[in-house]
Amino acid sequence: MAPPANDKVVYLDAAATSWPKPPEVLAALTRHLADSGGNPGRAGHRLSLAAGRNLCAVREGLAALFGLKDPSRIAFSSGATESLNLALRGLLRRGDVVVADPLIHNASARVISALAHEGVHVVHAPPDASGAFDLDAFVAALRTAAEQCRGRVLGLLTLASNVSGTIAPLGAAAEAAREADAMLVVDAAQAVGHLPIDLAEAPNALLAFAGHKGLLGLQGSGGLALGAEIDPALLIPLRRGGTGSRSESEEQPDFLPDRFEAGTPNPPGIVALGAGVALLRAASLDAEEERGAEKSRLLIEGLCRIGGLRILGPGPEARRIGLVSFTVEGADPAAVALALDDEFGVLCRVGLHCAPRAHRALGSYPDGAIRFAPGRDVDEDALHYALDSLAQVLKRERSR
Amino acid sequence: MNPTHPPFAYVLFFTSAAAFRAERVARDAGIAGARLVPTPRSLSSDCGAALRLDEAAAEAVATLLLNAAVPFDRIERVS
Repeated sequence: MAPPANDKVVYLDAAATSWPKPPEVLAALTRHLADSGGNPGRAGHRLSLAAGRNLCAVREGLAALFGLKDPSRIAFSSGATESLNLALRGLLRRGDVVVADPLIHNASARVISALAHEGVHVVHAPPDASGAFDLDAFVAALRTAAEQCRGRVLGLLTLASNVSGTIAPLGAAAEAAREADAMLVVDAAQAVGHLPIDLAEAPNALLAFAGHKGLLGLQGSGGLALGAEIDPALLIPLRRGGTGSRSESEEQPDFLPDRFEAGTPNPPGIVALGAGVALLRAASLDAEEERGAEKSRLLIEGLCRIGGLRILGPGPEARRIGLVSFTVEGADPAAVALALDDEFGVLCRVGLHCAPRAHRALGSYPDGAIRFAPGRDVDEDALHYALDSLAQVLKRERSR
Repeated sequence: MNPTHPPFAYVLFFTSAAAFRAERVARDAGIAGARLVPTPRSLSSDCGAALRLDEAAAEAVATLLLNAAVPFDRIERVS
């Protein structure tokens, strides 16, 4: 295959962030900045009100996306990491137990590691033989925690792995948590926007999401969605400060969403992710999931044909978002990734993907892996091009 | 009609998030003149924005908000 034109780019790093942003997102962002640039909820003038209306519409759109009746149960944040910090730090105290799935990202792993130093007991449920989430092991660990712990028990679930792409069963995990009288904190950073998520089947869940990945918005945006059964009073705010409400008081308001939204929000980021939500809802999340699954199947088949590669996690029959990681024999993954970028315009991510524990579960620690996570605009032809490019690079690297 | 003279009714909220939802609910229902304004100082409120209405629409809006599960503090009438 001939080298690409200079501007040729096949973007396979959508798990890190979405690119390019859809025209609808860019248009909404431009419109917001031009027409609604005030600070929402902080004044009564037209620009402030316009910004507030925009945020209101996004909150309602997100509530609909997650099957929540009450939009105030969506708290905006700077992203999934802050939301996971809020949920885990806000709920866990000395003597409590958190049962984590084996595919956690450092966004939660480092939080519970710090909490362990503060007296929280951390249990890591083992993966299944393929390295994927094991529901039976998760249920057993929760049950044991419930029997032995006199404090609060919390489940921690990675809804879609940023390393293997596999999707965990939200409803079943929430039910397992319920049987242990536990809440379930869900890292949905890689899942949201890629598959339907219904908190009606997980009313005991707190769902942390990013705005710039599957929701197609900007970095620095995201939020925490509280299932209908979550009592906000149990969750200690991460930040305290101005909310534009109850200004005479120096106490943080106890009502939603202000309890968790201290300080000036990020309206451009929120509006952008809201445009992404509208686009995805119109396209249907079922269709998005099928498109992602089809891309993963195509990638797995193509990678198997190349040979000398090991796909991380279960085979093509597993439920996956559009994301596949693999290790290579006989070549340095970093050199492969560099050659793919320089010579073919194929952009991917190599290494441990901020998820060392997931790589351990998948047998790829400490070397890491190459991850192909095609963006929404990457079609079948582009995936074939990426696979052909990889085959060429590997052939050369292995002959050295 | 966009009321510019009293008597007004003001729907008061705890949070601006509810105020914006209330405005959309009122407008979707065709409540003429429903408008978010800075909460008058005479009306103690948790939230800086209030939904100002023609006083005659107050009862209808209260019902609308209850049906839509939009939380509000109370409704004040100002002559």
